[in-house]
Amino acid sequence: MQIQVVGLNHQTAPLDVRERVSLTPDQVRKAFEQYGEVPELAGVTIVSTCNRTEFYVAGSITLGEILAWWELLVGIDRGDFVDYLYWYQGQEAYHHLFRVAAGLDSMVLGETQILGQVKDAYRLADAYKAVGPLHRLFHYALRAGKRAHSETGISHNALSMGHAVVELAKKVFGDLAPLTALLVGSGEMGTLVGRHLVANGVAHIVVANRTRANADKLARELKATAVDFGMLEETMRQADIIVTATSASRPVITQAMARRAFKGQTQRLRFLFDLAVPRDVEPQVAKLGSGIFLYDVDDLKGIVEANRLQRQKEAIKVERIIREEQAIFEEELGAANVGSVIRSLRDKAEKIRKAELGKALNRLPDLTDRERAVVEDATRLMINKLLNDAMVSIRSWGNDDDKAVYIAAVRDLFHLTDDSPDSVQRTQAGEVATEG
Amino acid sequence: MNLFLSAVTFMGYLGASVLYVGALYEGRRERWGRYGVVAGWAAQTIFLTKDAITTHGLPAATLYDWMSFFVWVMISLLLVIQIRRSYTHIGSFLVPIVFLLWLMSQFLAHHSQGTAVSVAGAWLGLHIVLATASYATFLLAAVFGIMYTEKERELKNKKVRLFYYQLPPLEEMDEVGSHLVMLGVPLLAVALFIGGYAATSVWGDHWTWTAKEIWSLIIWLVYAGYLALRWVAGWRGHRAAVYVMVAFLLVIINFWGINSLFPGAGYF
Repeated sequence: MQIQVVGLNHQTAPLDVRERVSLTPDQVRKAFEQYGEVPELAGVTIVSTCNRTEFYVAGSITLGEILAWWELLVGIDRGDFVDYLYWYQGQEAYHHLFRVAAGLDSMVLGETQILGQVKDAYRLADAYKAVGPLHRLFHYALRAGKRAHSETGISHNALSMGHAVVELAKKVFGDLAPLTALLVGSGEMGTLVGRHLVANGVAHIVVANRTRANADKLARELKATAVDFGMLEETMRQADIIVTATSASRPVITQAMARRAFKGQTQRLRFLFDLAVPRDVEPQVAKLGSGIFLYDVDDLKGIVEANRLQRQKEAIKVERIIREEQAIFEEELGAANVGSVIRSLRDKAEKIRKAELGKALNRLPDLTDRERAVVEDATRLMINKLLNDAMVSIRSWGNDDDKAVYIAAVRDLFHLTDDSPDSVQRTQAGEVATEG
Repeated sequence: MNLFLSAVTFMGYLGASVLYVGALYEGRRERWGRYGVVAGWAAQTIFLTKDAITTHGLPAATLYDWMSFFVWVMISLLLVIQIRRSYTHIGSFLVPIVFLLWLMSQFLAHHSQGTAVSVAGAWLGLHIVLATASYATFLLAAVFGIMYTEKERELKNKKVRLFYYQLPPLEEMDEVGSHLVMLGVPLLAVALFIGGYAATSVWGDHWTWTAKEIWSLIIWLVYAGYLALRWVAGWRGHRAAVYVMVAFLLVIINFWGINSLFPGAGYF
């Protein structure tokens, strides 16, 4: 039994390819309905988002068969997307899913959305009883993803301008709710940042724009107050956060103006974000007081870059978690793979021992109870000692696909005709599914 | 036994200092740092308890004893404060300072011995406890001041590194710092008052104008001045943070400078 993944993502395929081969939820459902018709398919889960489409499959199904299935589902010739595909088997496939679930394979490193998408994909497959032997793989991958977010800072720290504004404000003020924010300019950037501020609980937002109508429009959207541009200086005095994003060619907030506006409050904490190019705020404004912070577009980019490095550092910790969880999964998988061989070998040895011991004891009717016990112990010890090394070796083969042939050899050598490993796994997976 | 306890305290606090500073870079070290703190704290607790039993009083009768006691109070406070997760990093600043204080107290041991207090009694005990508590709030306020200026510097320079990611928001640190002083000033006022009362019963005079007494009064005035500047002149943020840091330097001078320059009554 082999676990493999075939798919493409934002790193390997351009958007137009990704959107053509991605599966709608209906198409995924259709795929699961066909699951029972393919005997080589022991289990399947399909992860399809705007950044990736991936088939996780278990069983003896070949790559060609998976691609043929994919072609059929989306109605596109494989020639159109085969160049963008990756295909991993065994350990590489597990590792890939663990990385995906933890957000390490995402366009925005460490984003949390993908974890929910993987979980949804798993649940949908489970609803159609199509997950099969993939249950444990997804269980551990989702657990690694959860741990990554709770135990590391992989999903902390803003990676976009809008988020960076909010993050910086929080680093200075903590709780944003009691603050007053002033938005100067109601263009695209101003609107975006305004939405971020609202989403993060800033209760009082004031919008100022040269064209009053535009200010009113944005104010309505943000449930904010609009003021005339002439009121700028007075409004600045009330504001804790000032965001400027106008298309003016000359500074809108000059040093002289800020000096008047902030008179007597230079120690009060105040954050100015100048998102305009050319700049809206004269850089000297930052020197007006120890409580004044002024960041322009480049400064924000610097923060985003520092955050990216921070996340990359955290990614190392996430890799560690992935290694831990993957090791547990592989050990479990290995035990399941070789479990039946070990069981049948031990059963066979025990059967032979009992039969031969019975015969021998029949021929020695005069033995005392103690002597019979000694003989019985001797036979048990012989069998155990003989099999012990073999058991240890066989257990170690469980995780190694290359050693699968050894397991087959053991079966041949001892004529073991017990249940197949696949059927054992299926029942194990079934038990697991009821757990949750 | 005492040597063993001191060794455990030394190792515990030293290890914790290193680990706590390291925790700024790698959060997982913080847990081991806390084990170090707990080990040192436990050893110190036993030491102080023994001391208290043998001397039948507060283990703070000499400067050496008092500093050790002060360190113990600070570490106890830290263990309580750290229950709140966002304040974990106070340890990174406080533990090294406190470790140094403890180390200095060990060197003081010899020449301060013998300044034992003839005055016993509940009033003196209360005076010591309250004064200790007020100095604890002042040290914590100074630590918040250090944290504030460090984080502020990163934000001003726009080169965010450690403190940007690890420390609480500026405004919060500013507020906590001021609340601590607000707590410390009345505590010290009461402590000085009671000290005067206790002194009356010993020397018959409540205020003897020793350097120590004058200096304590100066410290109280400095911190009261901080509150006044905050309320009246609107001092906030950077200036307030620098103020509490400098003010605590005065407290330290009070202990080493005055006690070694002007030995005599008034102890510490």
